[in-house]
Amino acid sequence: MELKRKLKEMIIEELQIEDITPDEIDDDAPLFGEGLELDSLDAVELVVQLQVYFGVEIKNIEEGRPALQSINTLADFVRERQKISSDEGLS
Amino acid sequence: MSDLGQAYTDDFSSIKEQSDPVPGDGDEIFKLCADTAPLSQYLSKGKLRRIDHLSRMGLLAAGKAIQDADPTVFAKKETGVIVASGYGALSTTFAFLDSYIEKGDGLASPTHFSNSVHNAAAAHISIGYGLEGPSLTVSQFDMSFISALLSASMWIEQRNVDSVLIGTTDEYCDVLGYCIHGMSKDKKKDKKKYSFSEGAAFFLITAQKEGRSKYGWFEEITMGNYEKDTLNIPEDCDLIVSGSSTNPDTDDFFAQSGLSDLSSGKKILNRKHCFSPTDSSMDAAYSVQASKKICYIKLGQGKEYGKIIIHPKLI
Repeated sequence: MELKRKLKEMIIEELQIEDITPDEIDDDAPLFGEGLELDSLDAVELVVQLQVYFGVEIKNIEEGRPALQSINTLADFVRERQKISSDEGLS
Repeated sequence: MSDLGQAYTDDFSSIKEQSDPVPGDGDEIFKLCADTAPLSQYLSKGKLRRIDHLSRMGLLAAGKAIQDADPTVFAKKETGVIVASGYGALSTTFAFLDSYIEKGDGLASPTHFSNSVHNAAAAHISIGYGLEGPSLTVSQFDMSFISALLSASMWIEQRNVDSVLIGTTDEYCDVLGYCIHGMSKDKKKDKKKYSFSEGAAFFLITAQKEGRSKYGWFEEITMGNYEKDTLNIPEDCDLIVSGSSTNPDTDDFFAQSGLSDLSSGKKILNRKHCFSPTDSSMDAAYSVQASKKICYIKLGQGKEYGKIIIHPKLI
């Protein structure tokens, strides 16, 4: 399954968002404030679930702020971290 | 003395009897479960997101109480909230512990944690309905509702608030059902009498004079130990005695208090089972519909009791 769709399904399931389908989430829409209107508790839950679902860790706010802007930025972050882990595994 | 201004849910259609098989056992657990779908009449889906079942039950009953309250005596700025829960958010707590055990402390769900704390329901009610008075949670097993009533009456007597939205919420979960089932088997009782249930009941109480009360009022609220105290039951009251959640048998209470010898025409309801540690709030809501004053006694752990005298307006 495509990474962005997995992320959307994870967000809907784990953040208990009702009445919305993955297809209705815009890849560029803001996750916080506007768009999905997530809040600070959602941010903490997202950080935990990213680790559970994808094995990637957001260690601090400097990493988290750019990563958690939208589905696109989140997908880029996950891909980058998974690539780094994969490269480290090979070396 | 406090006005007993509504509450209780009149929507009994939201309560359903269900049964589950006991793991490794041929028996069934009987339970009464609440459907909180009508809550959408009071709060939007956005506001209800992440709120767990225990808090939703409380929000639904509280919403009904607010809707029914006399708007001339109910000011949100001067209304406190007290929620009593014997066991708190059991399902959420076990879900949090499961995630802790399965994934480790770093990956346990923050949402589950935030809902697992005992004061989550009271916070959701205060925020959801914009009640600006103090918000308190009381958890004292079977004595939770009585203890909460005492706190509410003190708030009103001390003029901390004009009114208090007070109620209870307790939920069923599989672990609890398994434990209750074990208790009933050990005691060789009719298992259906040990049916556990869940639910919530809320009242808006004020310091209004009796004549203006919509449903009735609490004449007395006391707690004590029936082995040490002399229990005075007024002549003009019927009596309801309800067993505790840890020892539903009421025989010891009647033997020690001598109340079984009453022959004054007083009706005595001896309820040797417990639907939930806070079923006393539902009994209180039921009692305001009676045609006579009710002295309600809830038994707790050891020899403790809580006593409420409820004066329905109709008499």
